[in-house]
Amino acid sequence: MNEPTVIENLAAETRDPLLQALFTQAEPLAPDEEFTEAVIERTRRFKRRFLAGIGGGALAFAVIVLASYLAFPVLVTEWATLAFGFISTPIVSLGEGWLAWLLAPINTVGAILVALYKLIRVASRKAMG
Amino acid sequence: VTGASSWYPDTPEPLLVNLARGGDRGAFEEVVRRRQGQVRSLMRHLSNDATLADDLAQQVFLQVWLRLRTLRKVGAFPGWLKRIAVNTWLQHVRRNDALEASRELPETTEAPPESSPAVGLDLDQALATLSEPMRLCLVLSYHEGMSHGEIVEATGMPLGTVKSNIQRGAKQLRTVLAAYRETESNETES
Repeated sequence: MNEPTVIENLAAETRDPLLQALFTQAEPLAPDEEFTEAVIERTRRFKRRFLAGIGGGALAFAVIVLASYLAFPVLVTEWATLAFGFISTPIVSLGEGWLAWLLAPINTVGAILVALYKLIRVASRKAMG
Repeated sequence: VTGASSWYPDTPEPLLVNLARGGDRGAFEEVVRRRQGQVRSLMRHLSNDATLADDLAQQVFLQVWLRLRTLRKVGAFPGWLKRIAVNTWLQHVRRNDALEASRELPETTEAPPESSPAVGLDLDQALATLSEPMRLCLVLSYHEGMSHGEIVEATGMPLGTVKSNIQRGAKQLRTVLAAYRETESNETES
């Protein structure tokens, strides 16, 4: 089957004049100050909830860490050491030379995790235009 | 900046969008003021419910405020806003399972529904007689002036489905409106 020509495409997109007139005549809604205020209030409410969520989450995390530290001081210190050791593990073993020193900030599991996060952010931004 | 809001009404939209992108609430407020008519009308055509339409339009602008930093070209704002509006509507429809239900409608519903005489000349009420996907395609084409390709991009529907929804939707809408006019003229004569 042949691809439709430009003229065929334009013909296919031609709108019904009667319906077009109806849509054009339909009264456009006048700006409503109450609506604008409602939107602004909604953005403020969202910001307040977001900040409360972040603050609450951080506080809960701090309380859990502190309580765990008070209850099991050795265990928490060991876990913290393990986690730090994991994110600073080199991906490629480069020995002790200047190259290893130069690439140290990006040659770690932590750097890969950050890069992955950035990639996902860029991809989602592109997807949203 | 004190008094900055006084010059917002005369500011070109791309500049307002750029300012709002940087977190300027006054500029965002002016963008809402200018674009609310378009978004609220679109939602009213789609939902035939003024309260629901305004609630969805508010959700659209909340999304705009949250995502504005991700908009790379301010010139792309009008199309970007339309996409957010369409996505908000589609999410609402999916939440209510209305889209799935309407897909199960018979293929040809050319005859006006029995309630058509009461539909009136009100375009939104006539549009409400169409299935969800048909109404969406028709409104985006006639109200927003979007091309078939743009509708495909905004809705994710295949091109053939978009074309068929617009053609069948237009035909059905004409039938509904004509049936109403006939009834109205008969009532006037008698």
